[in-house]
Parts: sequence; structure tokens; C-alpha cells
Amino acid sequence: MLFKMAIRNVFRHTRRTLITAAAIGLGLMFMIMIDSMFGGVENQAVRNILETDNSELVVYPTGVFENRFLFPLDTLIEDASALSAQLEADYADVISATPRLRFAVFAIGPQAELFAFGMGIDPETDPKVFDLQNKIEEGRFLEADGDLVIGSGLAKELNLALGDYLLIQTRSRRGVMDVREYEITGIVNTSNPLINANAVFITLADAQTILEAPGAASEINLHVKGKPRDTERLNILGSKIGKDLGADFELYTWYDLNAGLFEIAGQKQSVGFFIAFIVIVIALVGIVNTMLLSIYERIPELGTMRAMGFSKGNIRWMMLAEGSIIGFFGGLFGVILGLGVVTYMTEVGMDFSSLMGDFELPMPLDLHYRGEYNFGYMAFTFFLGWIVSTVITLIPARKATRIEPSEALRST
Amino acid sequence: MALLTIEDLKKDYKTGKVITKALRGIDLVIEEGEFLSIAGPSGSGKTTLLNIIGCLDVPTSGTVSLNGTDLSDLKKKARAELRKDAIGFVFQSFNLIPVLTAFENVEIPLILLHWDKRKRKETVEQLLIDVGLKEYIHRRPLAMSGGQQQRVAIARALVKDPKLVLADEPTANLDSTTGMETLKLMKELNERKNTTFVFSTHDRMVMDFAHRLILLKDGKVASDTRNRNTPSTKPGK
Repeated sequence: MLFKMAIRNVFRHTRRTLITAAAIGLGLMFMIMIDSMFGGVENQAVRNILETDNSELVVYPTGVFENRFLFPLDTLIEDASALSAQLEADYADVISATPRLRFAVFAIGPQAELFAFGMGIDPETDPKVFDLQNKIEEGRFLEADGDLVIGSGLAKELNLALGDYLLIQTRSRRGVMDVREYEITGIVNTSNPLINANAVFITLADAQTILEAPGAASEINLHVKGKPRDTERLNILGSKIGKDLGADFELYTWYDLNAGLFEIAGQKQSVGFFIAFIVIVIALVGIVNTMLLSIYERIPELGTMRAMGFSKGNIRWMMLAEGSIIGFFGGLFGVILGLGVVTYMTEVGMDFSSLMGDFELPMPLDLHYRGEYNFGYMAFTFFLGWIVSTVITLIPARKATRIEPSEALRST
Repeated sequence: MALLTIEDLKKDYKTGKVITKALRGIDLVIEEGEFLSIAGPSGSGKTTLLNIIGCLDVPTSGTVSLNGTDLSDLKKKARAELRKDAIGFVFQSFNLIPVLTAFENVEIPLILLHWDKRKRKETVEQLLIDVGLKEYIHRRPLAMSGGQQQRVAIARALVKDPKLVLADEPTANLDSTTGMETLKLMKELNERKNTTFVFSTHDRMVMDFAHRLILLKDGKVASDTRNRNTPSTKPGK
């Protein structure tokens, strides 16, 4: 009977109930939307990194990790292709492996010149680990020595097109300055702006020749089985391989290599908690306000119920049920609305590129954001809205139970 | 046999530093089966007296004894239990639960007393037929007239067969014809079930209808008279 009364009481003022439920629902929808956006951005960053820059596990010569952005040539992995093939053969969890040789370059075009980073890659093994070959916008992927693929952003900055010539100036391992001329055979346009704006790709053999580092590479990228996000498993595998390789090598996960970036992304949780807090406050204010209003309107009715012998517990239970029903519908509304928004964000996405012009983020992210579906989080927000609405109703419920029947009946 | 014995009952209300003496020493004995009216001007203490008798309020001093139980000693929970078990209420504004139908409103006291569903249904339906609301069983209060609502309220007060029914100005919101019908219904139930009815009223018609009239003035009993010529509800009388 109490539950029946609670349901009917909730729909006694349908508009008020709907407004309260809608406020809760909108708050929850906002939570779901933010989570989807952050999740999508994080996914995009991970995908971009793994498709273009670092694989799940990377082998470095010991001591290089900290200075890797300075592209040191004095400590390289010698006979890197052989080691790469050995790792691929020896470890069942390693699907494929490829060496890369990174170096600093001064890219000189006929009209402009820019500092960039060069990358010597093996045209045969690199596509088994990365996905650059599918990101070629014009021309072709590296096929033979003498080919050069340039990032689309860098080509634009240097005002270069496919078939144009580019001078690559770099300092070799022995400190000798070398300049080589390349015809641009491909322009790569990845969803990683860092690659687009800065990278010049040549074959590993070419890079080894220019840098006077025959057979050497700065890193070996390992594409391994399992989910890339499972960094614990990657660390275990990395420790095992590192132990087998000995003290001359260190292994790092893609996460270690981009920790700075993901520390920023880690703000997601703080922002998420902040938004959740705001949403909870909105829900609290809405529910408490609605329930208090409802109680004040029903003082004589509550007094009558108490006079008839309803206990304080009965009244409290009825009030909690009313708050819970509003919270349930608010939660449901929020999840339905959230699902709609997330579907749009994931399937269509939000393209900020026209707003931002040529601006490219200094991160492996492009300006066309896409969300991600996180059904677990949607369920969490639903229960959060429902439970918080129920629990917070204890405040007005307490007020209702404190109504003395004689006082309440006096106001009839 | 005395159902209710009131001795030197006093009730003070404190508002800030002002103390209002609502009841200044009431002595009263109410017999079982009485149809009694408490009258008096506004502020004379009628509602306060009814609230104390109905365990809705506690006296400042004095004793109220219902069937031998001293109400002034009871804790809140025990008073709630007594209200649930032994006292029925009829209010001036009917005070039905608007979200429940007539049937559900009358059924509530029996649910609180844990009656089984089938017995509840039989009892409630019969009582609603007795008060002339057969056609209105599944209507909600807002779809009923004032007189019909008051009949539901009377049925709700009587459904658990209480020893005592307290009615606070039960005809105040009804027109004279409906008020008279309501009084006749209560009188009939009083005669049939021997339920004790205590009313507070301003209404001359109610006073004339009662067996006994207690007149309160300034929180004291000013007069206590018995009316031997009350209209009977029995046919032919």
C-alpha cells in the first residue's frame, strides 16, 4: 500500500516530477557525455600512438630512455634487424617486431626550411607493427632506398608537393654533417598531428648509411598479443624479455613512453569526479526541493496518516520510495539521453578543425573528436542517480516524520 | 460503564514567553455508547480536549483514562498503537488520502492492523455499502462530493470497530442537508454498533442531535446537559 501511495504521490504533480527527473537526467547525461568524450580522446591518442609512433613494447639500449627526444646516436642497438627477428621468433607473445632509427634533421625545401625528426624504417617489417602504409594521402609508402615519405603538415609548411625535392641535413654518428636530396614519393596524413607536422620517413638502410650506423637502430618496436591497455601484462612480458636480453637493454611500454601525455589525460578522473559532484549537487537540490515542497503541501495528510496509526518508519519508507521513483526515472532519462548523445559523438563525432584552422595539437590527437561507448559507466551513472536520489530523500523524509499529528491537523 | 475518565485535565501552550492556558481543569466521565457533543466558542479548548482524548497530544497535568489505560503516561509509540487499535477519527476537512480510492482509504486501518486481504475486502465493501457509497467504491476523493467524502471518512473511522470515534466539527464543511444526513449516519452506527462518538462542534444542529452536550468556556466545563429528545434514526420514531 505504501509503495502504491508513493507511486501515485509522485505522479500527483506530474510536471514537477518530470522537471526534477529531467534535471537529474540532464546532469547524468552530461556525465556520460564527458566520459565518452574523454574516453574517445584517450582511445584516439592510444590508437594514434600505436599506429604511428610506438608499439606496445619498445626495446631501447640501456640509458637512452631519458634522452630519447635528443635522438642520441652514440648508443644504438647494433645488428638491430637480427635482434628484431630473434625477438619475434623467441617469444610467442610477440606477433611482430621492427627496428626504427630516429634522428634529428633539418628539412630544406626550395622555399622554406624547418627542423624535423627523421625516422628510418624497414619497409618490410614496419607495416607488420605500425599502420603508416594505410595513411598515405598521396604517392606511395616506402618501397626502396631513396624513397621519402613526408608528413602532410610538414609538406604544407615547406610548401612541398609529391614529386618535389627535399634536402635532408643531419649529423652522422661520427659528427659529420651530411646533406642528401630526396624526391618526395609519398605524403602521409595520419590522425597523429605530431607525425604529420614533424616526420620525415626514409628506409632504415638509408638512415643507417646517412648516420654512419650500419645495421643499427635506436629502438625495436614489438607488437604483442592482448589488449594494449593491459599495461600490467605488458610490464610482465617486458621484464621477462629484458631479463633475457641482459643489462644492455631496457623495455618500456607505450604507456611509459607517453606517460606525460596520459598524466594530462589522467585529469579525466578529476574532471569526471568534479562533474559527478556538480551533478550530485543538482540532483540533491532538485530532489530535496521537490520532496520538501511535497511534504509542506501534504502536512495535513501526513498528520492524518500519523493519527490513523502510521508509524514514523512507514512515513519515512513512503518518502524514500517517492525519492527513489523520481531518481529511477531521472536515471533512466539520463541514460537514454546520454546514449543518444554518445551515439552521435561516436558515430558522427565533433569536428573542431574548421574552428581551429591549421592549428594542430601538440599531442597525438586530431581535431575531429569521437566519443566511445562505455556501457559500464552508463550503468554506473544510472545507479548513482537512483541511489543518490533515494539516499538524499532521507533529509525531507526526516522532516516528514517529525510532523506531530496534532500540529499537522491544525493546519487543515 | 465508563469508557473515558478525565480528571483535572490541564493543557498549556507556550509560544515564546507567552503561556496560553487551553484547558484549565476538566473533569469528565464518558460512558460507553454515548453520542456526545462538545461545544463552545472558538478558543474554548474543544479541539485541544479532543486531541488529548485521541492521543494526538499530551496534557500538561491531570489524567485521561481510556478503558482503564492512563493516556497521560503513554510514550509516543504506545499512543500511536492505541490510535491504530482503538480510536477512529473524523475530521472537519475529511482528510482522506487523495491518491487513494474510497475503498483504499477505508482499507488503510485494516492494513495497519494486518488483516488478511479477503477479510479486508469483505469488511470494507460492506461498510461502504452501509454508508451508501456502493457506487463510489473505486472513486478517488476529488471525484466525490463533500458529503460523500465525509461518509468515506466515517467508514474509515469505523472500519476497525473502535471503542471511540472522535469527530472534530464533522459537519462544518457540509451544507445543512448533507450535515444532517451525516449525523443520522453516525447516530445509526452509534445505535447499531454501540460505538462511542465524541464531537466538537459549533453547529446547533449537531448539539441538538447529541445525547449529551458539554459546553466548554475558557478551558473549563461550563455546563454538562443530557438531551432526552434527540431525534432517532429508527424508522417510525
